[in-house]
Amino acid sequence: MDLTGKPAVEFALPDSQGKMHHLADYHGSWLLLVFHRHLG
Amino acid sequence: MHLSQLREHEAELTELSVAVAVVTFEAGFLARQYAAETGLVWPLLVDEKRELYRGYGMLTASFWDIWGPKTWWAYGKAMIAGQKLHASQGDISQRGGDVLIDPDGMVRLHHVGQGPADRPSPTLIMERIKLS
Repeated sequence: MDLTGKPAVEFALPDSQGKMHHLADYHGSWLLLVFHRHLG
Repeated sequence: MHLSQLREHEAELTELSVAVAVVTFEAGFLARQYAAETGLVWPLLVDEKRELYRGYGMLTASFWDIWGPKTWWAYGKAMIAGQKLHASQGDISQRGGDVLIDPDGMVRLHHVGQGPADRPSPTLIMERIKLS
């Protein structure tokens, strides 16, 4: 699977402090999502 | 390891107006502890149901990806660099990766890691931005 060139996957996720983040919040700037394998 | 490399380029990323968000599937105390212990400067998004992981094809890693020589090499380098490693209490078979999204919401880089060392370099990521 390679989504390069395709629309980003929508998300609505809380952060570790409980604040919600949506893909739309980042519209207008570059966003780098760094997916962890596991913490530690 | 990868996050450490990105943090070394934090000023450049900021200059390029790149927002960074780290995604984990581990929730609650583990996520808060990790953010606090590492002094994470970027938000740590919690994808407990792994829907975003799934959306980007970051599913289960193979045994070789998890325990192969590249993994041992990557962790060895991290330890030599002074990084503190903890035995994971989480799902070690979960793949990681990086996704770069442009200001219009289009994916410009989609990398699913084959192991802990298989990540695009910060230089490559910034080149993608500068070339756009």
